[in-house]
This record gives sequence, C-alpha cells and structure tokens, in this order.
Amino acid sequence: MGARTDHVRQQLATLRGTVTEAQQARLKAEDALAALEEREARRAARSGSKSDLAVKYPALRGR
Amino acid sequence: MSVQSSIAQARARLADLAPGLNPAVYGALQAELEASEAVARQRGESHVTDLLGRVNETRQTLHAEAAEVRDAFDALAAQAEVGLISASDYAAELRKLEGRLAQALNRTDTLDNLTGQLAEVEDDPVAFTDRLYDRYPSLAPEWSW
Repeated sequence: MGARTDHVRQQLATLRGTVTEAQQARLKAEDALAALEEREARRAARSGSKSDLAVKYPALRGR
Repeated sequence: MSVQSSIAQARARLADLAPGLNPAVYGALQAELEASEAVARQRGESHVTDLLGRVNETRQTLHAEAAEVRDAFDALAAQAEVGLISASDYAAELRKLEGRLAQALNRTDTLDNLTGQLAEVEDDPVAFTDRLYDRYPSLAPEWSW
C-alpha cells in the first residue's frame, strides 16, 4: 500500500472511532427514550388514579 | 502511419518487433514508450492529488458531523434524565439525529470507495492511466509502430 493511502486509512480509523461513539450514544439515547416513556406512563397512571379517586370522593379534590 | 493504443499493447507490439530491429531504432521506440509512461504516471499522480483532496474534504466534514451527532445524542439523553422534554418531542429529535447518523454512515461507505480508488492509482499510476486508455481509446497515445 502506498504511503498516502496508508495515511488516509489511519485517518479513516479515527473517523470510524467517532462514528462508533455516535452509534453508542444513539443506543444510550434510545434507552433514555424508553425510560422517559415509562416515567410518563407511570405519571399518567398515577394522575389517572387520582382523578378516579376525585370522582368517587369529591371531598378529596385539591388535596 | 501511427497507431493509437494503450501502453501495454504498444509494449507488447514492440516486444514482437524487437528481434528484427537494430539497436538504435529499438532504443528510439523504447524512448517513445518511456515518454508515454511518464505522461501516464503524471496523469495518475494528478488523479491521486484529486482523490486525496476529495477524501480529506469528505473525511473532515464527516468527522465533524459524527462528533456533532454523538454530542447531540448525549445532550438529548441528558435532557430526558432531568425530565426537561416530553417523550414525543424526544422521539422526534431522536429520529432526526438517527437520520443524520445514517447519512454519515452512507458517506463513510463512499469514503471507503474513494480510498480504494486511491490505493489502486497510488500502487501503479501508469497501469491506472493505461486502463483509462483501454476504456476510452480516443485518449490513448499514438505510436509509430
């Protein structure tokens, strides 16, 4: 392999390293989305059950 | 009468003729062959310079893009952890970043192809140019034999 091609291949290895980091960051971001959706679902469920209680027991409203 | 052909074909014809040629004529034809090889080498080198420019420009752009996308994924995940963003906004932002990452990956493949071409030309610039002559005969040199 020629010296210039060799040099370019070394630089491409650095680029691949950064691309791999971006792919790993993407996986973390996907996990964070799953966690966020779960939190939102839990919050919605909690607020749903609070509304149910408020319907059954109007005196609890605002508490 | 002159003949237009690739360097390899001219070399083969000269080898066939060589036994019947006197040394002075053979030397002159050999010099013609070497002059054409020098031109081909120069063309190949010029292509190497062109490819290096394209590879470097693409590589630098891609590197900056990959680093930016990586940091943006990290920043997005951090927003989710502190609850600064809704899941739907987060998902939309995530898809945008994934699109950018996919494009960067495609361009990395293009870069690999360009680097493959670079290796080929740099290894043998004369043979590279000669293959061009085979493909586009009107570009091939003219020979006196």
